[in-house]
Amino acid sequence: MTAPDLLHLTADELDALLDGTAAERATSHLATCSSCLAMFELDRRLVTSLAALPSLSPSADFEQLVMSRVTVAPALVPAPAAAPSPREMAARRRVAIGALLTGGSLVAGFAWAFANPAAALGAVVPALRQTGEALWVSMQTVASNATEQPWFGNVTDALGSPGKVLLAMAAVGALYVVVLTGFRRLLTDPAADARW
Amino acid sequence: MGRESAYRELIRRYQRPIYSLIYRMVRNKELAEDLAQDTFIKMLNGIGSYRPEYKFSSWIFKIANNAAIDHLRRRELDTLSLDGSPHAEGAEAIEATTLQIGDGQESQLEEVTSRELGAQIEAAVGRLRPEYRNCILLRHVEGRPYEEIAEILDLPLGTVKTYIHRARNELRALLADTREG
Repeated sequence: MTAPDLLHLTADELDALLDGTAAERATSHLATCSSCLAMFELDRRLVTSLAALPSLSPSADFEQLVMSRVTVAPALVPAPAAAPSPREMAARRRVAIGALLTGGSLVAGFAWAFANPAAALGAVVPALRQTGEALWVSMQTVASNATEQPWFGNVTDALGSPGKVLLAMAAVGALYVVVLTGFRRLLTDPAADARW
Repeated sequence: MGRESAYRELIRRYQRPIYSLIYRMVRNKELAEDLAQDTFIKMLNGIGSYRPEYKFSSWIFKIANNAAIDHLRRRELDTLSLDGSPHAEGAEAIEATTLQIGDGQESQLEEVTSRELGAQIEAAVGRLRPEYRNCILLRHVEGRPYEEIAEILDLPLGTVKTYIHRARNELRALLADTREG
C-alpha cells in the first residue's frame, strides 16, 4: 500500500464522490478504506434524503395576494411623434429648397469645370491671385496699424526673449484650461445629490 | 397587461422553491407565507434594479434568504419546529413530529419521536444554525451549485463549502442520535 492510500478522503473529495466527479485516488481509496466508505455511505444517504424532500406549496391564493400588493407599472410605449405644425413644415420646405439649389449649383459647377478645364482655370486662377493679394494687403494694414500703437513697444519688450515667449505661451495655455474647465462646469448638469 | 402576466408567471415558477426555503428556515407556515409574499413583492417592485449579468434565481433566492435571516435575527427565535413536520397531515401526525420544549430551566429540547425519515431530516435541518441551514437547503434540497450559493449568501466559496460540510456532519450526528433514541 502506498502512502497516499493511507490518507483519508478530504471533504472536497467526498463532495466529488457525491457529485460523481471524483478523481481516481478517491474512488480507489474508497475501495480500501472502510472508514471512508462508511462516511461516504452516510453522506450519500443523507444527500439523497435531502434531495427527496418535497417542494412545499403556499396557500392557493398566494399569487393573487402577491399581485394585489404589487404595483404593475404600464409597459413603456414610445409616444407617437407629434405632427409638425404648418410653420415647421414651411421652414423645412425652405431648408430643403435651399439645400437642393446649393447642391444642384455645386454639382453643375463641378460638371462644367470638368467639361471645360481650360475655361475654368482661366477664370479661377486670376480670381485666386486677386484674393491672395487682397489678403496680403489686409494683413499689412493690420500689422502697420498695430506697430503704430503706443502699447506695441511694451509688448515687444515683454516678449523680447525666447524664455519670455515661452512664459507668455504657458500663461495663455493656463488661462485657456481655466476658462475651458469653467465652461464645462457651467454646462454640466448638477449631480442629483449636490448640496448647492 | 403583458407585464402583469409576466409577473404572474414569475410567481408561479418560483413560489414553491421560495416558500419551501423560507418555511424550512423559519419553521412556521403563516410566517413563511408572509415572508414569501414579502419576497415576491420586493422582487417585483424592484425588478428594474435586477442586473441581467446575474442569474435571476440567485437574485430571488437572495431576497428570500435575506427575508428569512432578517426575521430570525429580529425575533431571535430558536427556529426549532414548533409546528411539526410540513409533511404531517392530521393532528396526530403533527403531534408526532412536533419538537417538544422541556419544562426545565434550561429549556432543553427533546428529540423527535417520528420514525418517518423525511420528518426526521426536516427536524434535524431545523436544529442547524441558520447559516448552516440555508447552505444545506440551497445545496441539497434546491440543488444549487456552490458558486451560486456563495453569490446568494454573499459568502466566500470556501466558507460555503465549510458550512455545508459542517452541516452534513451535524445532520449525521443528529440523525444517529434520533435513531438511537
